[in-house]
Amino acid sequence: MKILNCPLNGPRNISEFICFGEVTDMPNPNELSDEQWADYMWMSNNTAGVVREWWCHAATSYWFIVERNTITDEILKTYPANEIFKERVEF
Amino acid sequence: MSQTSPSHFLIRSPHYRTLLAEGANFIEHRDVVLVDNYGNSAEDEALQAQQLGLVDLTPFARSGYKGKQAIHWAKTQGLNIGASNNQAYLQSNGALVARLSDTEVLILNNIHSEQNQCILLEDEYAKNKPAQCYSVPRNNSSAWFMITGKFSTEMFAKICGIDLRLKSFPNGTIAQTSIARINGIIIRNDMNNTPAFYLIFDSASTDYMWSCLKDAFVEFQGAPVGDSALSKL
Repeated sequence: MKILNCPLNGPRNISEFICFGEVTDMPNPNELSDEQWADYMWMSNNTAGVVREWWCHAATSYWFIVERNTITDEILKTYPANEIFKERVEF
Repeated sequence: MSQTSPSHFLIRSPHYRTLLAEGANFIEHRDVVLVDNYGNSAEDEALQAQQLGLVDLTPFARSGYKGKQAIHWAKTQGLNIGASNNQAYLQSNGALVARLSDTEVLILNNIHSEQNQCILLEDEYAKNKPAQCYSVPRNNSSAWFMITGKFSTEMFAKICGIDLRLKSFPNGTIAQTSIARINGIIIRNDMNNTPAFYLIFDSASTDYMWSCLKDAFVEFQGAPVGDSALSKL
C-alpha cells in the first residue's frame, strides 16, 4: 500500500487522496483567445520527469502541492500551497 | 423504564429506529432525546463501556467555523485554542474545541453541561458577522458517536489505518481520515480513566457506520451503552 505524507494530517493511505493535475500559472482570461483558454483549462503537459501537482486529502478537503517523478512514481516532496501562492489571485 | 418516544422530539438521532430495535430506552435531556440505557442498569452498562461500548451522541450540539479568520474570531470569543492543528482543546465549561487546520475549528458541546457553547457562538456570529469566517453547521450534517473502553483501539485497527494505540495517540489528538471506508474525524477524549474516542462523520451514513462498528465489536464482546453509563465511568 502506498503512503502519501499530507502536510496537514501526516502519512495517510494513498486511497485517501485525489490528484488534480499539474500546477500551472493561471493566465489572465481577459487577454486570451477561447482557444488559448481551452488549452489552459483542458490540456496537460504530461511531462516525463519531476512535476508539481495539486493533490487533495479527501477526508479534510485539504489541497496541497506534491512534487512527483512521473517516470518512477516516486513522491519527492509535499508542502502546503501557501508556500508558493503567497497572495490571493484576483481576476 | 422510560416510555419516552424519540418521535415526539425534534432533536433526536437520525437512526433512532435502529436504536429502538436494539432495545434502547430513551430519556428527555433538556431539549433533546437520547438513549438512557439498553435495558441494563447504569452500573452494568458502565462495566460494558470500560470494556468496549458504543454511545450515540448525535442529539448533542456541535458546530464549526471555517475561513482565514475563523481561529482568530473563535479566540476573541474566549475560546482557548492552541497553535497545533489536529489537536482538541478543553474549555473551562467542558466544551471541546477541535482545531482541524489553520482555517477550521469544530466545537463539541459538553454533553452534560448546562451551558450550550455552540448556541453562544452562533448568537455572537449572527450579531457580528465576522469577515473571512464562515459558519459550518454540523448538527444535521454530522453524526457523533463515542467508542469507549480498553478494546477500542484494537477494534479501530480493524476499520481504520491510523495508529490509535493509547501510547501513540495521546488524549486530545485528532485524526481526520477514512474509517470503514468513509471520511470522518476521530478525537480521543477519555472519560476519566476509560479510553474514549469521539467519531464524527456524515450523518447520512449513520446506520452504515453503526452496523460496521457492531460487526467489528463482536470479536471483543462490545455493545451499545446508554448515556446513564457515562456518569458512572
